Amino acid sequence: MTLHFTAVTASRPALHILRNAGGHAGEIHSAYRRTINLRFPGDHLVCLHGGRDLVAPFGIALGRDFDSPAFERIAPGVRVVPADGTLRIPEAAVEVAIGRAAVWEPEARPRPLGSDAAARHAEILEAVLLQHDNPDGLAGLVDGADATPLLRRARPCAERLQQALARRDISGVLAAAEPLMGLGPGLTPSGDDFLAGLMGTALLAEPPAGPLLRAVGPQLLRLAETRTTLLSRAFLAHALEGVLAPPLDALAATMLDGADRPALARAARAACTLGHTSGMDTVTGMVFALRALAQAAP
Amino acid sequence: MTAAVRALVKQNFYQDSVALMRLASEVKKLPGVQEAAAMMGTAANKIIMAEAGLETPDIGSAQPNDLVLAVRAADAAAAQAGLAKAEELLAARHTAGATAGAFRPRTLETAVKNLPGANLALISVPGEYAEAEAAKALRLGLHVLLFSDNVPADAERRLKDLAISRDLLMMGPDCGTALIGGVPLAFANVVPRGAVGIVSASGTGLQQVSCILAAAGEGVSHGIGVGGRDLSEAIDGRMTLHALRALGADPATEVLVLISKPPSPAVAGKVFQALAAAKKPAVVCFLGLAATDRPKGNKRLLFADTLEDAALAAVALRRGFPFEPRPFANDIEEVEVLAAGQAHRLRDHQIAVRGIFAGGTLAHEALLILGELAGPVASNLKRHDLTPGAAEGHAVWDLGADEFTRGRPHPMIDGTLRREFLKREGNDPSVAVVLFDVVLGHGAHSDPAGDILPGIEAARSAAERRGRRLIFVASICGTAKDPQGYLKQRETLDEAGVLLMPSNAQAVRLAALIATRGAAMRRLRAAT
Repeated sequence: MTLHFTAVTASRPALHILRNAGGHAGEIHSAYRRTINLRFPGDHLVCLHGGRDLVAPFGIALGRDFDSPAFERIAPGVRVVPADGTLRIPEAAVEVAIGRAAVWEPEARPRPLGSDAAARHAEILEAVLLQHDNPDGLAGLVDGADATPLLRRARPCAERLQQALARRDISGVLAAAEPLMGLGPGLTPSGDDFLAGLMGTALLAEPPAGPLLRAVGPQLLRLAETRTTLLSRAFLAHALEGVLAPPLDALAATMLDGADRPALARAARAACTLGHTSGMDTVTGMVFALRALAQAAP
Repeated sequence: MTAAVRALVKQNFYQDSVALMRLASEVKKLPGVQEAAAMMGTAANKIIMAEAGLETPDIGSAQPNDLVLAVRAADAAAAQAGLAKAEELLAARHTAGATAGAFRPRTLETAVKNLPGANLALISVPGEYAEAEAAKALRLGLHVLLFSDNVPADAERRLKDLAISRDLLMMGPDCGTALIGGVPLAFANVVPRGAVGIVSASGTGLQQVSCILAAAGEGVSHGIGVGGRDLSEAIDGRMTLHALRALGADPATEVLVLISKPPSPAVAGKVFQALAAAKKPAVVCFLGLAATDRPKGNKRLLFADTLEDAALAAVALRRGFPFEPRPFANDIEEVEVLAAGQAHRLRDHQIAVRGIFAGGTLAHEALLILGELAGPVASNLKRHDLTPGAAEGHAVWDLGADEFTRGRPHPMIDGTLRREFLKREGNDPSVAVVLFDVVLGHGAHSDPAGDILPGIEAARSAAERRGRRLIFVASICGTAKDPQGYLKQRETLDEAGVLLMPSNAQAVRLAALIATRGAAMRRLRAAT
């Protein structure tokens, strides 16, 4: 018996990946209790997950949890076939209808951000991160904390990255970014989330320097091929297009729209709840990008 | 002696970071183990591991999509044991529930054939399969405890009707606690068998009442969980009414206790009729039910405002004593002195109580009592989108609620989230008292007090660094016979300087007295 699911929300980038697969089968990259990552030709990932809120810019939300006996048969390497508005996993007899899902479009649009506004936003995001006070991950970077090996390792790179970004020194950005890649436990190491937040914000908030920063993209992704996980690389690739995970995208949009302090703090708090540290690590990267923008020469 | 390092690389193996950090932290607790890591084999992580003295050729050859398990220990045997434990923990996550060598039936029919005489099935499958499995069990003549959630109301009605037609119990869906014939099921405490029969739409409500009964020397005949939705209009109290009839007919049950949030008036009417028909003394604890909504005229029926009062009223009914609710087990003046002494240590701007709960009904009870004694209380029980750090003034968090348990273990199993919340309160200058529960019993963490201790210490240090004192008030929901041991847990919290009260209700009242500098006492005296 085939188990049918109906997706409630699908991100535009995920639909784009499925369309570009042109009917070619993909495979399960990794499977968890609430998330299944699918890999399609060209190493493009689509993240299928429970709940209604998208957790990745390449996500499809099923609206409910899917830990069922059928999903026990879903393991890395199992074939996934996209066709006619559905995703089929024949070995597990699972079919997901995507055609009627609401489509999520990234909200954040590139818009220049003055140095005063960047400094103000950085301060608000820092305050939210400090309130969360999560000892794991890289949020401690905003407070000068060096309590963990991860923070001790990341701090000099993050600071160099900020300086290089402020100077728009592309080779400096690359050199400082490289040791952060793949830094931290888990499938999206903290260093990568930090880089996604930093690069995404820098691209969205400084359009005049956009082309310059975009030039770094392919080089960063090449580095990522050997230095981090495939999933992390997928997040970074989207960030380099200015597309962040939905709660972080909403934060970026709020920031670029010039919203007031309470609205920005609210959006930052929501973004920080993504994953165990992913949201906070990405917001930390955003803080460093904002600090760089605040100190950048006009 | 030179330390030994052992490592294992699992190719293309993925786990989320929380799972990996927890695994490494478990392995680090083993004797002789000096350092442990579970990380993806990226170049950056290999440097971190090398800095921690975790370096082997295997680690060197790991790729970014490989998982590295590495252990450094005082000797080779300890390192090997650490690595074996890491593998075991990793395997356990993949084959949860599997027991090597044990018979694992694949269907209910096979299970019944292999265990003739079984009369109850505990079912925990995803919501979409729950009705089919539970119906199968009922047709096989088994009572059902349905742990699954996300079961539609229609399915719940059908299952309960099927159960009633066969004179069986259908506990749940979303039922996490039951005590049937002295056997604790799911999250339940080790309490003696006795004469009090409990029907409960709340897991920790049943736990708190059964533990207070045990402390008072009484026992439970049966504790029947009915699922949180049973007394809604949609389900119409089907299983509550059936359970009351069953306990009414049970010769071992002398007193009935019913625990729930207030039902709709229509359902409440049927419940009160069923209680009258049971012809046994009964206590009703509908947390938050207004006094005006309580029917009068049934002398065998007592109403309790708190879970503790429900248990003590049942004790009084069983022993034939009049029941008089008291806000504290100790003299109220004694508690007033204790509260004043604690309040004296606070700075003027420290006025908020923050409740950080693992038990949903304990959180709900705290919300009601604190609101009554100390004023408005923010809570995710009222607003599910309330974000941590956003609450101002008094606040009560139910960390077992869906919004906090998606992708995380329940706080009764793992204190990580509670530690984070505790620590955060230490940074908030307005916080006077941090209030929390410690729930023992089967299914709960093996050392819940020890598990959240680092959070208490972190919160206290954070406050003290800024020149403030923070007061911690808690209650333990458990018994001396629980696997964790009530006394051991109490000792841990005592040593950490936590003020322990004998029940959740008393803990909340003490917290309110301290934070309001005694103003709550006037309201308390007026109420009593």
